[in-house]
Amino acid sequence: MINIVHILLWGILIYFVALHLVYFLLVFLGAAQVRRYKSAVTFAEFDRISKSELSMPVSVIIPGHNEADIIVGTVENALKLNYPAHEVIVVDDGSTDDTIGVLQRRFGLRRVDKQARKRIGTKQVNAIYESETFPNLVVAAKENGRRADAINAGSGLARYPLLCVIDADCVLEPDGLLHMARPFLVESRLAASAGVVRPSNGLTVENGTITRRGLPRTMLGLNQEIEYARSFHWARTGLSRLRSMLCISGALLLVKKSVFEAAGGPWPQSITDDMEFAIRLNGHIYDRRNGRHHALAFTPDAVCYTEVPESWGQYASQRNRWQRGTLQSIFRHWRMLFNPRYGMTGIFGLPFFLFFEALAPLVELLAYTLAIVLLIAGLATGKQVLVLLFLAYITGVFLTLLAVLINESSRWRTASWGEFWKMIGAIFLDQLGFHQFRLLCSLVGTFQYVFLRRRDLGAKMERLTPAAAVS
Amino acid sequence: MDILGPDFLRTAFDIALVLAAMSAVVLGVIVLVRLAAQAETLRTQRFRRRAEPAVHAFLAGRDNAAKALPILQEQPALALNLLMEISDRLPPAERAPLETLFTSLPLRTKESAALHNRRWERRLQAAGRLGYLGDGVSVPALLDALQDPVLAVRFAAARSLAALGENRTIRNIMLAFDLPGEMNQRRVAEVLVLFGPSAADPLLEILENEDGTYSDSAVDVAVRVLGLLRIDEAVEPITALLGRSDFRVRLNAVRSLGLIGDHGTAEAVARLAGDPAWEVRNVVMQSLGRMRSVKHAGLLSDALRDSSWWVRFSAAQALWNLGTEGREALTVAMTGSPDRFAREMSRQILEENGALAAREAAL
Repeated sequence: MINIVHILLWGILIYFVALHLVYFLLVFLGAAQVRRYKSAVTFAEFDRISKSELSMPVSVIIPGHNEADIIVGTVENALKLNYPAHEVIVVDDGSTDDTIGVLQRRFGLRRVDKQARKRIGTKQVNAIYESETFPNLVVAAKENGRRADAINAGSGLARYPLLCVIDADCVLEPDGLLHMARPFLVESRLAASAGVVRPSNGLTVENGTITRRGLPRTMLGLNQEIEYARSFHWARTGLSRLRSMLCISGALLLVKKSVFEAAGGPWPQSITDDMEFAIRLNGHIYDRRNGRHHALAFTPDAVCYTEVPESWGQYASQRNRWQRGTLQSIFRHWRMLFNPRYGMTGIFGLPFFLFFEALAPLVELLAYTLAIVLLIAGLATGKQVLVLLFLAYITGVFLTLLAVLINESSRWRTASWGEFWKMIGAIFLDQLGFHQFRLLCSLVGTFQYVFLRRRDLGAKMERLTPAAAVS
Repeated sequence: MDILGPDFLRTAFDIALVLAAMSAVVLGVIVLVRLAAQAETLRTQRFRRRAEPAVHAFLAGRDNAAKALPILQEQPALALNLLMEISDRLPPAERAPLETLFTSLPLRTKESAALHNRRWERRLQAAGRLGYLGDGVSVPALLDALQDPVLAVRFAAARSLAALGENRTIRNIMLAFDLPGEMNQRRVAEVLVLFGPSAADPLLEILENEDGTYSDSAVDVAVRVLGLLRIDEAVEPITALLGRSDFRVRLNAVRSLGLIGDHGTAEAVARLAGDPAWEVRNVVMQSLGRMRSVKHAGLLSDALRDSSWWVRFSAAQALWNLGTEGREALTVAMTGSPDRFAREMSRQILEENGALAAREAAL
């Protein structure tokens, strides 16, 4: 018995050390990447892109289902983006609310008999509308088939060689598209570029224009603000350096249409289509058999804001879905695991996701259980357990502070001192309950995925702060 | 916990304490970074409040340069950023007076030296700045920078040469950027367009040069730029390229002829309507539309049945651009064409342009 406990303890310890060593490596790479990016970029360059008739035109695809409350603001924001040539394609994925009606009234839509290319099969597109006042706006109404299906339908309507996919609740910085498109001009092999996502709760948007960038007001929202900062400012930046950016947020992605179609578009049956597609895209790009002619980039200053849940129920539902989606995506592409044919993606990226993301909740549960068993069996004292908990806590705090340091050293720092200290406070509170709640949601998600074979998308998020809709 | 070793807990606690101390240090650094950034912003704002009106007064002719110069020379780096910003906002023709202010900043030697810095980011910055600061003296240094191993630095140097109007360097630029790939060609074309019409002669020389000095890729770029600049003298040499075996050369030649819009070339362009590459056929349709070549309405109507969606789309748009005759051809195709794709595409373009009955618009 003691031997088993001994092995388990050492196993958890080695896991903890390995996890944090990888995190430190990512912080280091992320900081170097952001620094390199910052010194290479000049504002004049964006000015040039915005005025050039040779900039690659972009089709912005906005899939939405029952988004009547917010869709107008999102479309206004997308139409106002500072970019020399872009069209906006809204795909209404079988809404039962008045999504098409509100769009029709605001943008003067009229039905047209437009033909879409059908490189990727989708559910039936019932009607296509164009705006009388905005020549670069197209709206398609189709049968319900999940977000991925709507994106695929939108790609068929796209006229331009670059596709930018954003969520229906997203608000982009006015220059967001310019920043996303810049890497395509610097690196001709680039297939896709991903940007930073931040919570839109606390954002003030008027007529599609961001007028104030505040932080969420609730503790839960604030907690997600630092979680997103941690995830985007070092994790993804570092992972992109290692060719392992397997989690590209569906809220903001710019991809070459040819590559999008060659990879087959997002999979409509997936629980988290963005993650599944990101893994497949990486597999397609870095597969030795495809010649590895392409690359992926992470753009640390292209910012998109998306609403995060501020009620515990919706938060739990979202995290549950993410965990199930992570498991589904990894299992669907298990052949890439440790497979040198996919380069770093197969050797490091996917194993990292499996062991340090998908399985982390199970290891953490094991650690907590073991601590309780040891306490009950008298093999450990409360003080000893507290020391280990403190070590885990302070490591998390330290890593998150490093993420904030990267953030503050860049151009994207928080607005006021008040908000800054609120964010610092949230970092110290993250491990005191929020983290454990996320763990619980992930465990429930794992159980439901493995034993109950749950594959649905969970409850739809209720829009609490329709930031983009404020007019 | 003793099963992990007698010193394990002590070590874990020590590591935790070290991390706590480091967290405190990182937090301190973050605060200092914020304070420094705030101070820097204030310093810049203060400087701009004084310098910007002085520069604008000079540009408006209300004051002479002697009034603005002492302020700018107090903070040369900030002054350079400000002047670059003002210069970018002005139309190219109105930038000349700023040259006096740029050249007065004691930075040109420093920036020229920075072209050899070991950090490519610094070289990039210097190459960009010399476009504003430099004059004939900076040209050799910028020509050297065209050989930089980092592509972005080479592009910045080329843009600076264009900003300085050194059209003698176009040949060097073409040789330095003999790169394959659509995106690279676009970027080189973009740089060369900055030279304006003065780029025409060196580019025409490239088209006339048959000794193999320039690759197909360089010829592509030259053709593209001549088209973008709408150089009439380029019509003849570009038309001669329509028979080339490389489809990209044909593609760019047709596109440029379309941009120049010379009606005399419509017949030669139309001959490529049956080109095996759909990209070429697509651009043929676009060019005929741009040229408003009414006598090719029949050819455009036939192209509505092309196997490529893009060719059908461009043909339909070109017909629309022809005016009444083209619109009639679209209506005929929509109602009477035996080909379903031709009917659908004609209908789509007519609808997009609001030419169909209000009945369908109301749906």
